[in-house]
Amino acid sequence: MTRSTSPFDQADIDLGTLSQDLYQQWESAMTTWWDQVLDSPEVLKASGQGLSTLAQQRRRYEEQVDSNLQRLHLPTRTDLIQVTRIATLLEERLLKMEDRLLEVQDQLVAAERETVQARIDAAEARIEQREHLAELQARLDRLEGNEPEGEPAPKPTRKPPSRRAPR
Amino acid sequence: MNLPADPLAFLRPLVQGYGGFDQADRARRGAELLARLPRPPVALTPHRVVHRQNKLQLRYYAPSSAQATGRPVVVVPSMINKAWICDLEPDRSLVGALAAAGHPTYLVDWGEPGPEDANQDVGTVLLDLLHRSIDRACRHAGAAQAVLLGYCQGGTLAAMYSALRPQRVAGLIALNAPVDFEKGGRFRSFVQHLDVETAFDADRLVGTELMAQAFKMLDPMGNIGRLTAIEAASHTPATLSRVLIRERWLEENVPMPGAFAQEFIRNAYQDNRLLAGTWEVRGERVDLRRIAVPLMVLACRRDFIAPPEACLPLAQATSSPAVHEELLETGHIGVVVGSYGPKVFYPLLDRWIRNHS
Repeated sequence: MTRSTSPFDQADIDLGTLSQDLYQQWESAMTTWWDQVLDSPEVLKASGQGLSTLAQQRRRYEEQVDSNLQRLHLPTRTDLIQVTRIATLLEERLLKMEDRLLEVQDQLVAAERETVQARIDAAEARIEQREHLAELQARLDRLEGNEPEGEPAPKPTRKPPSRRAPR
Repeated sequence: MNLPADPLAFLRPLVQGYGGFDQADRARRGAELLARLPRPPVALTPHRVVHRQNKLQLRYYAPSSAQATGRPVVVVPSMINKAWICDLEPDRSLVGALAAAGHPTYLVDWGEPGPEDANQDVGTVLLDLLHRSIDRACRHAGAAQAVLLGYCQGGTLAAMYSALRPQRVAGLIALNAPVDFEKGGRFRSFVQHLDVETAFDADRLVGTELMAQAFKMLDPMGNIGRLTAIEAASHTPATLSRVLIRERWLEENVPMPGAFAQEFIRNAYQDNRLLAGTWEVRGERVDLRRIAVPLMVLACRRDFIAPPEACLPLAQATSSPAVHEELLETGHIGVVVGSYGPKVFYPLLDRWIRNHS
């Protein structure tokens, strides 16, 4: 077994661990520093102003490009934006029409459902009426003495409900 | 992509094995891999587009389980992310899991707004785009109402919509959806003193580069951790693919319409109007107490973007008769990307939706 002759080993210093510790200390110090920087109102104010300046510069640049294109009788960025905005507005109109059509379709479906229900109700009412009339007729017959007392009246044959819409 | 030769290559053998130097070297290798490797494909779950408006698409994921439910679930993601964050991988797809559990699932893909859409405000987003999407989803599913599942800013929007137009809403799930913006964490600190009128033009888009930087600043040292994670994952292809998908999430933001950004930042982050009930959309007051349907409020303990204290107050702000409130032991992205999704989160959603369908 060979013995290490490194002065670090003899001093019982583990360079690997030491450098790892140093790195972690640096990372922690940097995190604290960044936190202080980014929470500082001065820095935040300055960055906000920087952002505003950047936006103004960009606007000026775009205006300059537009004016150069205009002088060359070429379509400018503003022209293109206007054209695409018109296309978007047209699409919006079409979609609003689609919305309206879908609403009308919903109303039609609801109206159709109501109509069908009303027809069913009317047919049922008519059947009930017929049964009632038949009962009355049977009672009348009994009163006139056509039939012996206590004998049940013949049941009327049920007709299918009329397909006509109720008035 | 060919990277220039490493100028410090000769030093590396000397420092190898020393933890701290190794850590730095791993971060460097992670950065190299991040620059070089292609990103894995996403949004692989089969779907059909059932409605379009401008850039918006409503995607339909047919239920595949025998125990299908009739009630549709409309997933509303944040407007600043791509919609595929809800459909990352076949086995870690929020929409895929819902459809597999038997729920007719619809995903609102807001699309990428162009300069012509820069004047879209919160009213346009809620009362035109989202309203029509929910209507079409209900019609497509043949149902009168749908369950809304909003994630992050999408959750805030879904809650606002449920308060404004409750007719089509059967239930609301708000995942990491901030409502008390005073407790909105570092993002709130960023925008608190911002002059939104000059910082964002109402007729221009808020660029993605700006938003990407803002998100990186939420956890500056976390950026180094991300790089070492890529290096650590590079030895296993499946893990590497998963880590790179998470990078896609962070890299690929969507620009925000200037008018929307102005209104949202001013009313939410600066004036905290949603919880106070003083936010007006097209003249209509957004009153969260009008939400009277079953409600599920979910927040994640390790969430820097939407801290739990900003999300959980929704549970007390409505007049819902059945509120389920839960703090999940994961992070903002991990809830959907990590193994937590299939193990805990998706079954939790399925159970709740079944109980309230």
